[in-house]
Amino acid sequence: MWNTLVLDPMLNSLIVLYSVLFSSFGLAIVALTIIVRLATYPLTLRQLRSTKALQTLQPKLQEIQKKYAKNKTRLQREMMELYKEAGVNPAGCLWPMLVQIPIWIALYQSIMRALAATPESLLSLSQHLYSWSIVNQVVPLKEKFLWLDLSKPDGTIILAVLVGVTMWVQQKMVTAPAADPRQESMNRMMLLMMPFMFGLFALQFPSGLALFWLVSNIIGIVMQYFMGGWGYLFGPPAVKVAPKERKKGAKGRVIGKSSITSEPKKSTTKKKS
Amino acid sequence: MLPTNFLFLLSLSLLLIASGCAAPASGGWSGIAFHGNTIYVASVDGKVLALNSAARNQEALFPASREWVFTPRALALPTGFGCAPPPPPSIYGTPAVAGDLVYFGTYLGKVYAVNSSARMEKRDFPAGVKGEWEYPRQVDKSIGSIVGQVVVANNSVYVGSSNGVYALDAKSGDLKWHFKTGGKAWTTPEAKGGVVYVGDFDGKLYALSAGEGKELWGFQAPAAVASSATVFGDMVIFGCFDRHLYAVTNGKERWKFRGGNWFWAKPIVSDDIVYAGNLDRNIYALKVETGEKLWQFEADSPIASSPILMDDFLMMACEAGKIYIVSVTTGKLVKTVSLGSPVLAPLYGEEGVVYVHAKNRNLYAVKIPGGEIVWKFSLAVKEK
Repeated sequence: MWNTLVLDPMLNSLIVLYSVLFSSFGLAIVALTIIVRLATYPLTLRQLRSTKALQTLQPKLQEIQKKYAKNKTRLQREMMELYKEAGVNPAGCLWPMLVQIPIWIALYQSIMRALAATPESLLSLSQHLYSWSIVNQVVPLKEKFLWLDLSKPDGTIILAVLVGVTMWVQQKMVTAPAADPRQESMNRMMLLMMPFMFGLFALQFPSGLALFWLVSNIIGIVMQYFMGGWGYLFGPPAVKVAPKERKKGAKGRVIGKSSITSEPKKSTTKKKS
Repeated sequence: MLPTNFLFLLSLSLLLIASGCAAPASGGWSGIAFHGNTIYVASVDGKVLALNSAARNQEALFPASREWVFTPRALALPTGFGCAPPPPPSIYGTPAVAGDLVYFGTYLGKVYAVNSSARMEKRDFPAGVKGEWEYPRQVDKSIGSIVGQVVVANNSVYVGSSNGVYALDAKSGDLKWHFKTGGKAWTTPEAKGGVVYVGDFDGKLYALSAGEGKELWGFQAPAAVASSATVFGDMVIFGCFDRHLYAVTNGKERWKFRGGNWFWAKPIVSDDIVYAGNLDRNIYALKVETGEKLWQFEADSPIASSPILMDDFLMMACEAGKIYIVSVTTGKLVKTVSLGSPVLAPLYGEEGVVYVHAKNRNLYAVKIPGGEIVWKFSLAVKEK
C-alpha cells in the first residue's frame, strides 16, 4: 500500500526528473525537493503561523504557570482560557508537521532507492519502477554531481558544514527567546544539537541525502523569510503592540489572532500594506 | 518553548540513527564451482570456502579433509566519517577454478588467486611459491567494484568492474590490458573464440579481442545491459534494462523479445532453445534463431538467478526461495522445493544434484527430480 500509493510514484517522478534534467541526479533531487516543499507549502504556512501564535503567548503562559503552579486543575483551565481567547489551537502546529512526516520519509526512501548503491538495491529497484521507457532507460543513475558521488558520503566536510549551518539558521529564525532560564538553555542546546547531529549524518550518509537536507533547509529559510522576515535570527524582532490592545490597557499582553505583536518586522509591514 | 519542528527532526534523527549506525548489510550471491569433488563458493559475509562434497554429505565437522576457508582482508577505503565500519568485502561472482588456483573478485575491487594447498596449510596470503596473488597488489588500491564472475581462459583472467574490463595474467596476476567502458561492467565476461563479450551499464555490449583488449565491435542497446551475455554460435544473447532480451550477431540485432521486467539472470541455451529468467517472475523458453516464444512458466516471485538444465528438466529458483523443476518439453511444473530463504545465486547441477546457495547463508544439495534435500550446510563458518 505504502509503496503503491506513496513511494513508487515519488521514486518514478524522481527518475523522470533525472531523465529530463540532463541526467543529473543532483538536479533531480533539488527539483523534487522544491516540488515537494511547494506541494506542502499550505501545511508549512499553517504550521509556522501556529508556531508564531504560540510563541507570542509564551510570556502570558509563563505568568499563569507561575501563578497557578500548585493548582494543576486551575492552571489547565487558565491555559485553555488563554488559548481560547487568543484563538490559538495548541496542537495547531503539530498536525501539519505530522502530515508532512510520511512525505519526507517517502522522499528520503526514494532518494536512497534511486541511488541503488549496491547490486542488491539495484535488483530491488526493478520492483518499484513503472514500465515507462523514460524510467527504465536511464537506470542505473549516474551518481556524479559537482564534486560529489551521490551514493557515497562526501569525502570533504563542505556538505556537512552547509547542512549544519543552514539547519541552524532555519531553527534560529523560528526559536523565540524564552523568559524561563531553564527553557532558554534548553532552546540553546537544541539549536546547536540538531544542526550538529545532521552535520554528522551528512558525513555518514550518501551525499545525495545530505544534498536533499541542504536544499530542504535552504527552501525552508526562503519560505520563512517571505512569511516572517529573518524572525529571531538576529535577536528578537521589535515588538509592536496593536493599537486595539493598547486601548484596552493590555500593556503588551498579546491576546487574539489579530493582535500577535511579536511578528517580525517584514511580515508586519506586509500585513499592514 | 522548543522549536516546533523539533519533533519532526527528532523522529527523523532516530530513523537515521536506527538505519545508519548499524553495520552495513553483508551482500553477495556467489554460485557454486565444482572441481574434483570439491565445491567452491563465496559466502554472503565475504569468505571463500572449499567444501568436500562427500564430507558434507556425511555431515562431517568443518573443516574436513580438503576443506578450507579464506577471508580477503578489508580495504581501508574512504567511506566518510561517523559510526559506520568499513564495508564488508562482499563477493558476488562465483569463484573460477583452474588447476590448484581458485580465482574470484570482490566488490571492493580486488582480484584474488588462492591456492587450495596453501589454504589448507593456512599459509600467510599471498603464498608466492604456491602461485597466489592479488590484483592490484597495493593494499589500498582497487579496480572498482566487481559484481560479475571472473573468467579464466587463454592463460588470462578476465574481469569486469566499475572501471571497465581487465585482463590479468592467470599465473602472475600482472595486468595484460585494461579496456575502459562508458559505464560499469557489472556483468560476467564471456570469452569464446579469442573474443571477450561483456555488457556494460552504458548500454553497450562490447566484443573485445581477448589478446589485446581492442574493441572489435559493439552493439548499443537503448538501456544498460543487465545480464551477463551467453554466446551461441555467432549469436550473443543478453538482457537489457529496457525489459528486452537481445540476440546480436557482429554488432547487428537479430531479434529482441520483451518481458515484463528486466532480464537480470544470464540466459542459457540448449537444443536451439533459449531459457531466460525475468524479474517479472517468468522464465521464457524462446527459439534461439527467431526469439519466438515457445512457452513461459510463472514462478511465485522474481527470477534473479540463472537456471540450469539437467536431463529433461529445467531447474530455476525464485527470490522467494522456491526451486522449480520444470519439464523442458512442455514447460509444465514437475516439482517445487521450498527452501524458505531468497535465492539470488545461480544454480549449479552435478550428477543428479542441484546446489543452491540461499540468502540465509545455507548451501543446499537438492536431488533431481525428486526434490529431496540431501544435505545442507551453513556457510557462516569462522576461519580458525
